[in-house]
Amino acid sequence: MKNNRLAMFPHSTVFQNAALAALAWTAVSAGSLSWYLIGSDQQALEIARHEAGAYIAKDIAFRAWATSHGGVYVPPTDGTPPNPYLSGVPDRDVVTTSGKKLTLMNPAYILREVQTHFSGPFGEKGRITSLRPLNPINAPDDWERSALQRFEEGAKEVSAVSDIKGAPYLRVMKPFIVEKGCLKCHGQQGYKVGDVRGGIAVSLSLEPFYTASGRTKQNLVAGHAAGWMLGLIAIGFVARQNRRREIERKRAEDAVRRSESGLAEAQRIAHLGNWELDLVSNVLSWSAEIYRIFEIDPQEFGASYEAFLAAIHPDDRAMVDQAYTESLAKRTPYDIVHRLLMKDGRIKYVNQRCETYYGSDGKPVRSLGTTHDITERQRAEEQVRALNQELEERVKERTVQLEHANKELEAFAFSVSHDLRAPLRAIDGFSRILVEDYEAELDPEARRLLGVVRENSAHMAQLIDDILSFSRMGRRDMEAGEIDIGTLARSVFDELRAGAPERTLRLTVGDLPAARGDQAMIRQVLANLISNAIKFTGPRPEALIEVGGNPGADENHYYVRDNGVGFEMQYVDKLFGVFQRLHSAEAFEGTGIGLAIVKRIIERHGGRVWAEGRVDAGATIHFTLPVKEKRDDAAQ
Amino acid sequence: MTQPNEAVEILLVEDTPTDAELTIRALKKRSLVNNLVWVKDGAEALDFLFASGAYAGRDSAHQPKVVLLDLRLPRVSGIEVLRRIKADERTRSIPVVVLTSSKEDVDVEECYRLGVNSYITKPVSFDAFIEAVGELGLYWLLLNKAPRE
Repeated sequence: MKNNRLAMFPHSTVFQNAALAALAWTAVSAGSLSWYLIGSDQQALEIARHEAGAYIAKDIAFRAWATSHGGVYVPPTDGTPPNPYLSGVPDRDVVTTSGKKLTLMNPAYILREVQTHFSGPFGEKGRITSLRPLNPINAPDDWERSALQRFEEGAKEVSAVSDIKGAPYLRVMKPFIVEKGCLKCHGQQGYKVGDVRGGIAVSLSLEPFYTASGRTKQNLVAGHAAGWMLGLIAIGFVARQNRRREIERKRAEDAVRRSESGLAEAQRIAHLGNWELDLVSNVLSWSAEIYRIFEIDPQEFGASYEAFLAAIHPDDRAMVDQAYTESLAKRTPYDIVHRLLMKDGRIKYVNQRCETYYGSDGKPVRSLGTTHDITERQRAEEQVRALNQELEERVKERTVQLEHANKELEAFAFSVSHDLRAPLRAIDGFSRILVEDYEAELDPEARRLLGVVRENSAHMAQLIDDILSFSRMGRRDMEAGEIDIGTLARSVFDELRAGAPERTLRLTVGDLPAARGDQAMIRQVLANLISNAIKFTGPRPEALIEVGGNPGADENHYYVRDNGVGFEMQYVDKLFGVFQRLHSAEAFEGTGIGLAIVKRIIERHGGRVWAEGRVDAGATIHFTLPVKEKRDDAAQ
Repeated sequence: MTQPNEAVEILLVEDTPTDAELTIRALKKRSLVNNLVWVKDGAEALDFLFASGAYAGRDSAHQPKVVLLDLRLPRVSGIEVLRRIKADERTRSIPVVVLTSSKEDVDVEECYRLGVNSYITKPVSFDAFIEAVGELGLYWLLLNKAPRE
C-alpha cells in the first residue's frame, strides 16, 4: 500500500501543484530580494546624491554671498597672499585707516580656500572648475570637462559614480551661472550675465553609504530567506493536507468503484439487473445486466417505457402493460413473469418486480425495479412439470392396468366361486346319491371311501369360501365407527364356544382402549384370532384365552394370547401368508388363510400385526389400530 | 317330464346338468315336481315365458308358479332374464327365485333392485342343498298365494 502510494506520488496533481507553487514562490522571493537589493543600492546613491546636492548648494550659497559683497578683504598671509589672478582688479590691495594692509579675496578664491581646508562629514571634497579658469588649479579633469560642456548645452546637474583611487565615489557637478557680481573679477574674460561661468563639483565617498546599504541587504537576504523557507513549509503543509485528502478521495473512489464492480459482477452472476423509470420524463435506465438479458445494444435502446414494451415478447406486451399500469394506479406490488423473444427465436423468461414512489400530489414519480432472468429456473420447473405429468400419466396407466388386473382377479374369483362350487356340489351330491340309492349294494369300505370324497369336497368348498372372503376384505368399503373390542371379543367367543361344547374354554378380557374401525371387519379379526386360539389349545385340558391391550399416543395396541401349542419363532414370517400353515392338516384343520385375512384387515385400518410364540408355550398375536382414523386403501 | 296339457308349476333355468339334477331330486323328495320345465339357457327361458321361438305355440296365459333362475347362463344372462320378467306386465307377478353359486354382493343387490323374490346361494353340501331347495319349493308352490287365481 505504502509502495503504491509512493509510486503513485509523482503522478499526483497535488505533487505537481506543490512543485509549481514552490518554484513560483522561489521566483517571487528571488525577484523581491533582487528588487530590494537593487533598490537598496539606488537608495544609498540617492541619499549620497542628496548629500552632495546640499554640499554644493552650501558652496553656491557661500559664493553667492561672497559675490554679493564683491569679495572679502582679508589680511594678506602666507595662506592668503594677494591673488595674482586679480592683479587687473582695482583695489585689490587696500590699507585701512589704521594702516593695516588688506587684500581682496574674490568668491572663487574664498570658496577654494574653504573647499581646500574643510571637508564634509562623509569625506566630500568640493571643487570649482571652469573651462576658462583664472587659476590653473581650477582647470577641469576629463569628467569635469565633459560635464561643463553638457552644462553649456543646458544640463542643470551631472552626476556619476567613479573610481577614485580604487574606492567608489559619487561625483556631482552643478553649473555656475554668471551674475552681475561675477563680472567684477571675470568681466575681463568676456563673460556676460547668464553665461555658464564654470561648475562646482563635489566628490562623495560612497563607502559609508554602501556600508549602510550592505547591512540593509543582509537583513533583506535574511528576511527573504526566512520568508522563502516559511513559504515552502506552508506549501509543503498544504500539499500534505491535499495529498491526504486526495488519498482519501481516491480511496473513497476506489471503494465506490469496487462496490460498483462488485454489484455489476453480482448482477451478472445472478442474472439480475436493476432499472429505474422516471415517470415524469419517461426516461428508463437499465443496468448492464438487463441489456445482457434483453440482448440489446445500449446504443440501440430508446430508454423509455415504450422502448421497454417493444423489447418484450409481442404476446406479453398487453399483459405487462396492464400489470404495470394497474400497479401504478392501485399501488399494488408489481411482480410478474413475462417472456422475451430473442432475435434468433429463443424465448427467455424474466421476473419483473418494482416499487413506485409517489409525489406529494399522489402522482407516481419513479419506479425502481429488478429484472431477473429465470429462464433456467423456468426450464427446470417445466421439466419437473413435464416429468410429473409423465409420472402421473404413467401412474394413471398403471392404475388402469392395476384396475384391469383387479377386475380380472374379481372375475377370476367369481369364476372360482361359481364354476368350482358347482362341480364340488356335484361330487358331494352324487356321492351322497350313490350312498342313498345303492346302500344295499355298498359294503362299509365303499361307503368310507365315498365319505373321504365328500370330506375333501367339503374342505375344498371351505378353501374357496376363504379365498373369496380374503378377496372381499380387500375390496369391501370400510365403515369407521367406535368399537368396544372387549365386548366384541366376548360375543365372538360365546358364539365359537357354542360350536365346541365338549371343550373347557376360559376367556379373560383386560381393560382395553376403545378402538376405531369397521365393526364387521374387526369382528372378523377377533373371530379368526379367537377361533385359532380355540383350535390350537385343543390338546389342553383347559384353554386359557386372554384378550388384552393398552392405549398409545398414535396407535392402540391389542393382543390375543392363548396357552396352546404355540409355534416356532423361526417360521413367524410364514404365519400371515395366504395358505401358509405351520401345522399339519391332520393335527389342526384349517385352510391357512385366517391370519392372512387378519393382516389384510388390520393393514387396511393403518395398523400393524405381529406374532410371538414358542412351541408348547402358547402364541400371542398382536395388532395395533391407529388412534386417528386412517384408511390405508393402498393396502388393497 | 312335462305334460303339455298340464299347467307348468316350476320353470327351472339351469345350464349345469348336475345342478339341475340335484335340484330336481331335492324337489322330488318333497313331491314338488309334478310339472317342472327345465330350460338350459336364458334365451330358452324367455322363449318359454313369452311363448316365442321353440315355445311359440304355448299358451302364455298359463305361467309357472315359480321360476328358479341360475344367474350365469349361456346366451342371455340370468340378470337379463330377471329384468325382462319383471319389466313385462304379463310376467311381472311370477315369483322368481335366484339360485346361484355366486356370493358376489353386486349380484344380490342387482337382483333385489330388479325385483327378485328370493335369492339363494346354492350350498356345496348335498344335505344343505337338498334342504334349501326343498324349503323354497314348499314355500313358493304351496304356501305362497299368487295374485292371480
